[in-house]
Amino acid sequence: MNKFLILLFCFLSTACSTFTNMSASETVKPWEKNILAQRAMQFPQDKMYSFSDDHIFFSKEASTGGNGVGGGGCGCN
Amino acid sequence: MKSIKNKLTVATCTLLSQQSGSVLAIENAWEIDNSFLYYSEADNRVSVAKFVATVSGDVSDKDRVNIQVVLDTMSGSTPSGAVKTSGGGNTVSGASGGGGIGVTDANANALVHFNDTRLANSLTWTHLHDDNWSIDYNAAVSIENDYRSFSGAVTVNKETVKKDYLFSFGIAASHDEIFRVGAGDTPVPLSQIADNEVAGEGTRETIDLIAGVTRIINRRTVAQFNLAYSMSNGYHTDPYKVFSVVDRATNVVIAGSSYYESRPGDRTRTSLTFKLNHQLYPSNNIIHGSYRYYTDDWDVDSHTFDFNYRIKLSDTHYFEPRFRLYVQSQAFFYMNQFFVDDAGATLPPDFPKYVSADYRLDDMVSITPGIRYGREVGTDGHLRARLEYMYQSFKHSEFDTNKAIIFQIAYSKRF
Repeated sequence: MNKFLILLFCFLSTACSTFTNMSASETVKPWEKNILAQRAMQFPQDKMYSFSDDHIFFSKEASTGGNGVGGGGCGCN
Repeated sequence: MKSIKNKLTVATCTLLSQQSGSVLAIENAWEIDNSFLYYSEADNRVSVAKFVATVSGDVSDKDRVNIQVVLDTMSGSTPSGAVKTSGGGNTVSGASGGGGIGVTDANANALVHFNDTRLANSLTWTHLHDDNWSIDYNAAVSIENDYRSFSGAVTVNKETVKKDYLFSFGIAASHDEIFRVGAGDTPVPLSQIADNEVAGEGTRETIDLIAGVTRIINRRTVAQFNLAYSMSNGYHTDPYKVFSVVDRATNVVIAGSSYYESRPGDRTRTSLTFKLNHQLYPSNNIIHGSYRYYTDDWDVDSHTFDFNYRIKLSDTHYFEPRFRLYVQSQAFFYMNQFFVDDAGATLPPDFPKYVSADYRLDDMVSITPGIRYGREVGTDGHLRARLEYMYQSFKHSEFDTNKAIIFQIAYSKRF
C-alpha cells in the first residue's frame, strides 16, 4: 500500500506539472479539433491492435495493466 | 457563402457532440471491426490463431453498444519448468489445454505439448449522461478447456466543459476458475509429480481499479496518464508448471525430482502509464509514444516503452514502424531449479513455501520491432496489417530466449 501511495503522489504531481507547465499548451477551440479527431490520435490509436497486444504480452510477461479495466482473463502459456 | 457557413456549423456541432470515451473521434452509427492474428514461436513452440469479431453502434441518442467475440486456437510446446535432461523424461500432463499423456516418469520433460481452444465474449454498453458524463458497463466471459473467467466492469468518464480534460475512473471484478484438462483438478503444490496428489479446482477473485486523465495539450498533441491498481486473491499457481531438484556439486538432476510449483495466494499490482500522441508539422506524420512503470508484491518491477511513427504515404494510406522495449525483474520465488547440497538426501528436501521455474517470472528483456501498413478502402473502410518480431531474453531460465512472429490483418467499416 505504501508503494501505491508513493505512486499516487508521483502520478498527481507529474500530471499536474505536465499539464500546467507544458510550454506548448494552448486552449483548443472545438472547430480546431480536426487533427485531434483523427482515429490515429485516439487512445488507443487502434483498439484491435491494442486488444491483441494486451493478450500476447499478458501471456508472455509478468506485468499487465494500464489500458483500462474489464474483459475476460485466460490461462495462457 | 451560406453553404460554407452551414458546413462549418455542422462540423462544429459534430465535434461538440462527441462521446468522451473515445474523446474526439467522429462516430458513425454502426461499425464492424474484424481481425485475424497469427502468433508463432520459433523451435515449434506455441502457435496461436486468433479471430476477433466486433460490432458496435448507437441504439439510441444516448446509448451505444459494443459486442465482441474472440476465438483462439493454441497448440505447440511450452516450457514446463523442468530442466533439460539427457535421457529425457515424460510429460507432466500437458500445459494449459492438456493433450498430455499423464504421469509415467518421475522426471518431467522440459517442454510439454498442448492444444487448447478459447472462446470469449464481451458486451459493453455506454450511456451518455448530461453535463459531459458517460458510463461504460462491461461484462465478459472466457471459456477454455481448463480455465473459466467471468468479469464485470464499470468505467465513469467526465469531460470538462471546454472538453480539454477527460477524467476516467474504472472498477472491475473478476472470478476465475482454474483446473487441469480432463481431470478438472489441480495438483498439490510442492508435491512430487509421480505421487499424483490432487486438490480441487482453483478459484481466484480479482479487483482492478484505474484512474486516468486525458489532456488536450494543443491542436496537435494529446496526452494521457493512467494509474492502475489490482488486487487478486486465490489460486495463482500454474497447475502444469513444475521445477527440478538439482545436485549443486554436479549440476545433475536428481532422479525422481520433478515437483509441482507453488505461488503465493494473493498478488497486488500497481502501474503508472503515460501516453502521448503528436502530429508533426508540416509532414502530418504522427508519433505515438508510451511508457509504463509496473510493480507488484511478488517483487516484479518492469519498464515498458512503446513507440511507433505513422508516416502518411498519402491521404489514404500509411506506413508505421513500431518498436517496443520491455524490461522485467524476477519474482522473489523464481528459481530455474532447486539446488540441494546432498544428492543422497531423502526427498523431498525442505522447500521454501513458494517456488516457481516459470520462465515468465525470470529477469527478462524483450524487444518487439515491427511494421504496420494501413489504407482506406471504399467508403469508411479501413484495412490494416502488421508484421512484428518478438525477441525475449531470460537471465536464468532453462530456455534462455523465446522468439516469435506476430502477423495480424484487420478490417473495419463504418455504416
